[in-house]
Amino acid sequence: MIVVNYLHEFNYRAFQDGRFPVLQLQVCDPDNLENKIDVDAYLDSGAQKSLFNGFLITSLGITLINDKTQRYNTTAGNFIEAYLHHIQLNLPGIGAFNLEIGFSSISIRRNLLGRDFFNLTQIGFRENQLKYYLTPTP
Amino acid sequence: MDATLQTEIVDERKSRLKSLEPTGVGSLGTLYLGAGLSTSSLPWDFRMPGNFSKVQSTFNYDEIIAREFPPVPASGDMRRPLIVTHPVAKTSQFRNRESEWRRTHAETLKSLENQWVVLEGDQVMAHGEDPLQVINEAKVKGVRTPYIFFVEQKTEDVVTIGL
Repeated sequence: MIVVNYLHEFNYRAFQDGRFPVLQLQVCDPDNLENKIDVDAYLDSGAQKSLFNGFLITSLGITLINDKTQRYNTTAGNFIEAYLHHIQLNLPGIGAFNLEIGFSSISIRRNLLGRDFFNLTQIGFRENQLKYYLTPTP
Repeated sequence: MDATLQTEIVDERKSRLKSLEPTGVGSLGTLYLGAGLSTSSLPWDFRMPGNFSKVQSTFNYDEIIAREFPPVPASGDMRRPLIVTHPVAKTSQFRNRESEWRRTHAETLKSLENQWVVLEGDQVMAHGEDPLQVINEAKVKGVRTPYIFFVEQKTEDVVTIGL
């Protein structure tokens, strides 16, 4: 028998096209944590690595294009080119996570939190109740 | 799966067994079940009339269950039962006001479809097709940390996936 304890409970967020397991968080410049922007990020356990919209890094005053590129393979079989940046994801009242994540070279509509984020946390879904649970330690 | 639910499932399976056994002892069998659920190694002596021991000796429910409901072979990746508890789970309050506004203002959002929006409390601070411009406009209006999102077009018969 496995028992999992969770510290935080979240309701799926209701948007115009349905309810989704979305985490609202702050993308922070690690060199200046006051320089930040608040966004929605979809919990996507099918994504190997998180992918955020490239404009977010630009809005923090950081140059998007660097020499660390990462291609993301989509379900359609095409690729999205992204640039990897070390940033801090801050979940107010929960914790902060330092991650190297991809920022897309093209505009995307949804930011995805992938398994690199799942690796730092404990997340449980209760789809039937439209809730998910999170503990900020793996 | 919690212990209560597990007990109910076993209970349900055992209750179905009454029809499998010789007639005339169903009620006694039920009586036996009432005690037998708590443990599989009950002593035979229930301090009850002697004929019970005879009935009990013909009713080994564990054997009957094993015979009638053979266990499903465990596959390599079968997960163990999982208990999820959240005795002190806290509900996040971050951007709750904005989330509530988005939930309750579908009509307003419809007019903003396919645009980036910065929302602060229940105020749309800026919106447009260029997210950087929208962010700058919100900052000019005094928003220190903009909360920006894209308003997706609501389309019937379409479901959303990650990428």
